[in-house]
Amino acid sequence: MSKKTEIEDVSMDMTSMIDVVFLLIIFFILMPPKEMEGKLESYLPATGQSDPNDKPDEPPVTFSLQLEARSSGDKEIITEVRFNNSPVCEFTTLTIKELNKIYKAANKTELLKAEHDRDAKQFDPAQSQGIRRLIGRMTDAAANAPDGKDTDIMIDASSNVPFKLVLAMLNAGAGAEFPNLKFTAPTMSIWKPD
Amino acid sequence: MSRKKANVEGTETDLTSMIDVCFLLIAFFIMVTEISKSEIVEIFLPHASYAAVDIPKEDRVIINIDRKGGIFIRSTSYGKPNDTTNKAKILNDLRTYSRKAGYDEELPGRPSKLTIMVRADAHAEYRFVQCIMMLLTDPDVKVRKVHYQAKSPVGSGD
Repeated sequence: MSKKTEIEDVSMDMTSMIDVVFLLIIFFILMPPKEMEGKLESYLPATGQSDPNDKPDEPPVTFSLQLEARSSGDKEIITEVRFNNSPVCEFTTLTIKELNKIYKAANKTELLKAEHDRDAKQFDPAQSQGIRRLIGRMTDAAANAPDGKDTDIMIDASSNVPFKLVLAMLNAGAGAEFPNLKFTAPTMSIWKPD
Repeated sequence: MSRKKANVEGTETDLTSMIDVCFLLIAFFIMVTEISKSEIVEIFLPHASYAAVDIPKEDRVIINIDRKGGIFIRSTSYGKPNDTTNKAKILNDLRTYSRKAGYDEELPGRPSKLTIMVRADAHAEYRFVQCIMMLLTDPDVKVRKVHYQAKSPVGSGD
């Protein structure tokens, strides 16, 4: 007598796996896309360690772009921008204290967006008269300079200026097609501990 | 006479192909989703309409500066650079990265081949960026040029 071995039908129910797969697809489709990021470049400050053999006969012509910040009450900082010692425009930004309050607020995202929109109006060349005036002055100065737009522009900003302002200056220079934006060497006060 | 039962064919669908396509889609989305290390720190980048398109290079060093001045390089948190101990640690690591990258013998002054990207928060004080810039000009680091990352509107820049 031979026993017929019963072969069980082993079939997997794929329903759950398909559900999981679809959930994963939806997750990755809906994941927020990375925001476009670009870059601006500049040269680092000279440290004064130059080769004596490289000294030019005449000092090169440079343009200076100065940013000086001063407090305006507890909430705002006003930064004056001067090009070749001539005032161009002023920008208003929040103090660190006021920013810390925003970051602790419940509606932080909305407040930051409002601040961001205000910055866009101040710093975007398409929207800001101040920046357009600065670009105009830079272009006029380059027209009379021997190196034209290849003239070095030395950015001299006080240490308490918000970085976004410095970047706005780099952006303005890039927009006006000045390739040689450089920073002046800072004073030793930057190393003072808080 | 018994009626013949109508032969009702089973209408099962073979889901194998669909599962294959689903897995391919998942693999595609996993590969295109970037979870970059530079985003570990919450940084609110400033906008720059003329920022050039950034093509990430694997060997570059990204220096993150948060709004309080804290420095983060390759997932290491250093604290504020104007603190003496932190400054020494940052400088030591930058020297190591610069040595590994090598120096450009063809350019005057043999600057480092190290590519630096500074991602500074829009609200960070400029002095913290200045501290990093000065560390990068150290004779054993010798970086000549730095890139500053900014948010750019779609379609702007180069």
